[in-house]
Amino acid sequence: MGDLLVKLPEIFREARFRLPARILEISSERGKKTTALLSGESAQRVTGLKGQLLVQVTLPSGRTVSATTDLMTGPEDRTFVMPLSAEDVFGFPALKRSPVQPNVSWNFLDSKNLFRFAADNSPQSDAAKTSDAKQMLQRMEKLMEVNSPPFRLWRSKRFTDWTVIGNVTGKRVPLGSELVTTLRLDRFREPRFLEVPFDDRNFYVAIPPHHATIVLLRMAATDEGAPSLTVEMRFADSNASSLLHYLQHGDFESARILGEDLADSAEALLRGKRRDPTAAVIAAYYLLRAGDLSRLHDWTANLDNWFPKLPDGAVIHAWHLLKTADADYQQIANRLLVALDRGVPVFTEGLRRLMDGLVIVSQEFEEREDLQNAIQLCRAYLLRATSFGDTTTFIATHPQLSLQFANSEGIQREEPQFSIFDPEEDAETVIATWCPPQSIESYRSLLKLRNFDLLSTAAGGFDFEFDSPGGLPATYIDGSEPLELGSPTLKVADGTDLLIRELTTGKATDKTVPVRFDATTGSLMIDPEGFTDSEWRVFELFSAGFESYRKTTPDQRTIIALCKAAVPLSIERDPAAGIVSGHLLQAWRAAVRSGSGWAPPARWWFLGNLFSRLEMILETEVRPLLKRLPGADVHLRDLDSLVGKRINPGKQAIWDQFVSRTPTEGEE
Amino acid sequence: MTIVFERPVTAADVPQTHALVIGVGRYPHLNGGDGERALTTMGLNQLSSPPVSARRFSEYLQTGFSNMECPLGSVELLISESGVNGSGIEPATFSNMEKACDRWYERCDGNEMSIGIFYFCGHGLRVPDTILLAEDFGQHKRRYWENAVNLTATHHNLAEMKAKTQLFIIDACRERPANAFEQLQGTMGRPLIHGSRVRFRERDARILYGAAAGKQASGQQHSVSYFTTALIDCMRRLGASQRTHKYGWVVDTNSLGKSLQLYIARLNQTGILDTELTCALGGESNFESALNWISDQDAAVMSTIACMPEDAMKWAELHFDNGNGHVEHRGPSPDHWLTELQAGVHYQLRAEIQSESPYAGARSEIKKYIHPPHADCRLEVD
Repeated sequence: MGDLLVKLPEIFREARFRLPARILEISSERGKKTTALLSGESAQRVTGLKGQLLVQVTLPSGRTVSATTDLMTGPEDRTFVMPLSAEDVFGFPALKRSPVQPNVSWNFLDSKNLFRFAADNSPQSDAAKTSDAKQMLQRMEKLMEVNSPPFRLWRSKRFTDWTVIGNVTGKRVPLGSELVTTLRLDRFREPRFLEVPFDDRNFYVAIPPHHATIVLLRMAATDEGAPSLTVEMRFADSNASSLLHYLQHGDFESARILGEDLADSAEALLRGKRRDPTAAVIAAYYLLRAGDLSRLHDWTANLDNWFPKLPDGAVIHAWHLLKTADADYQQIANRLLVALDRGVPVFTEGLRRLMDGLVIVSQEFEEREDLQNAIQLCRAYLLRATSFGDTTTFIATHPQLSLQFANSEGIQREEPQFSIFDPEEDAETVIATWCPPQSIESYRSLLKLRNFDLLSTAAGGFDFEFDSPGGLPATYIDGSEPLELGSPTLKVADGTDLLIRELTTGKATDKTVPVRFDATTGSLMIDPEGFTDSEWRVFELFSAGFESYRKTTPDQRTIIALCKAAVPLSIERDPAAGIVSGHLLQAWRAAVRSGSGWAPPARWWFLGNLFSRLEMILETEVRPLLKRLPGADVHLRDLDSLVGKRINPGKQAIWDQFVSRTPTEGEE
Repeated sequence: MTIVFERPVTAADVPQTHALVIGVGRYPHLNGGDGERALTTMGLNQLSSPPVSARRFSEYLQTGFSNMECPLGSVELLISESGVNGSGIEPATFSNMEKACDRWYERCDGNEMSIGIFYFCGHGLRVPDTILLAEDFGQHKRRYWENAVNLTATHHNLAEMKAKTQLFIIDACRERPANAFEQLQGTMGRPLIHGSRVRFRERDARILYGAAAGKQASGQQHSVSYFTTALIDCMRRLGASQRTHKYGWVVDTNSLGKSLQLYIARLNQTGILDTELTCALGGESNFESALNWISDQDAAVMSTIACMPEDAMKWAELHFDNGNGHVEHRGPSPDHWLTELQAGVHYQLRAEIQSESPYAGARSEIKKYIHPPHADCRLEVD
């Protein structure tokens, strides 16, 4: 009897991925089944089955696609091409989210190639789809010219030493109701963390070393109004990406079909000392969680030793040792501490295993404070880690996280930040709050506990964060007029309880701290008395001292208006609610009147974030709104003009020129 | 001890399925409780769904669970419910949970082919370990986490249990408490089983979570939770992996997880719920294990019937027929037709387009073999 030869359709010939399949007899009582890895390049031979067969493929997105074929009796082999379309695999044409695995819409190709691929390979009979794809492609290519704001890249040594090592700028494109940014990251020698500002906080996303990586950031408004961000990543080895997704959504069966194969190649890669450990790391995590442990052999030690800057290698090595009989707990503890020293693991599984491993060995060495400290560090990061994302992703205002749970000696504290909240434009006071970044989440929680919602202040005005406690920049908007402060006095509320009382009752306290304006540096200097602990301090900055900042230029007013339009939209996006539309139109008109255009300032991530959001909103909300207004042509032309004036934030000179120009007479 | 089901062991080497089912709705030290208030309640209230859900799952096991190779051996039940006294069921205090877990361990430790099912419905947290709150959580002011179960550590330590198939079903929230930072210091919760130098062995030890990390589980008041409803439906009808010649359709640990995710996703798709449900799968697994068998009559497949292009759905009348009396049709609608079809059967599916439409006159008919976990039936009409 002949065999079945199964493969993916021709359109996937160039693709490098393989898909795990189950092949089951459905016409015989035997109910026999086998598994195979399907590719578009060559057919997979399936033996030992007969009669009518079901071929079932589970995609990394969690979707299952099935088809039947007959294997007739006879000596000839039968070739079966699994009927899979680009839509099935990639969620084409609109990067549809999988209901099972919402953060997986694409796995193998970057967005630009994805659409080209889909457009070129759609069946000609499906005219609508081809047409859609081509239009989408054209639109994307046009819009691909838009640069995203720069994103910072961080390096982590231990968990407590974080350094910015550069920026990366990507391409940004509105796609449906989403704003999609594609970032291409060069190969690094050690892991990096990408800082993605979003919705008044930052996502820190681990980028694996040794190979170029493509990251897709998808920002969308949700039905609830709060925007959402998903981060998708493409590794050099697309099968490694797939394996990670199967493990993430608990499809261990598919993971096993793919993982055994990947483990083979990972082992070979390591034996050959190839410098791409990412696939090997994923394969090792697979083997630890769902595979045959005996296959780990000695290559976990190699992974650990040959990549001395990769935390995951040491974690994997430690866990391999832990799972062997007569485990040497001293050696395991050492490997785990080495992992800690290398920094935050690239994969969430690694961070989780690092903590679990430390907890296990600490039971053996109860007196070792270094292990307890390490557990607290891991816990701080795990508490902020997201459950989604291909690699370790945590949410914070600064990557050096709160160690308030880990106050043992030897663990560094973070540098504090300064925040100013301006609840109302015409308020008599501006409330400034000093708090260390690691406490911001605690701070929000406390405010919320007392029914004081931080969002309500942000929605009314600003939420600026400054880089250092003593050096407030003189200006609120980069490049705008300096503040003229004279010698204002700040009143200080001492301690957490007072903070709450101040915010809710507005009562002043009797403590004062001198403030001076440094004309040479353009900074507002506050004596850092009492700033060295982790307590919060609240200052009332009397409006007398800050009046000048309200004398804003039209550019600033435009930006303020845009910010104000963007913030409530994140909370309330119902176009039927006239308030939101009103804000939008007001912002848009202000922008048009100013004639200045607008740009995402590079250094001000908060504003940059707002602009990103606003840019999406302009396309998805304002444009349809304008179409319905009398004189729509004029409005739309204005809008195009406004959007067309976006300035590449990388071109600082243009930005400086823009912000420093003198307002023309008659401008509001 | 509240054993609600126990099958006499006929021979020591006969594997059995042993379940420990816990439902906690009464929390005296949390909001609305009748005990002294905990140091902080983290905003947690009394619950009415977990006792109902736990009872329902226990009933299902006793009446619907069918595993010929590893039949049900025992079900031990702990329930904490507000306003119910003298039900005869032990309350789910930490101490009772600990003792019940010891007994469950002993039963499961008899045979490595046995199956251990651990079911919990009640308050849960993720800090970052998964923590399950016993009835008496918050009782001790200076030992805040004393009556909380550290599931993560429990799961680790159960690696030594002889039964190689261990299924953990956690129908609880997995949110991080917003205002309990001071209380989050130190190790949180205690494992139900302690382990020292745990010997890790190959096992199928999946965790089915009724909420994704950082999300809430939910259910209607005084009703079985959505997740437990989905779980029972998948065990009973919708979660098969394949048909076996011996006993019919088998639900294994992998297919149960996959079908649960699909079930929840479809429930969200219908838009009938106020809130979006989530679920997640965790744990570790070195192999799949058969859990439950379903008869040919009962085995069904979550199915989606739609036209291509989707726009045509607005004018399409959809029909299906399995040739054996299962015939239905649906009028035009822009939405996909989410339905259930019988597993292991060839269906005839048809779309007929109304005359006044851009696709007038188009008709599509396909024959499709329906196999779990999901049948995606696309009818091309142009």
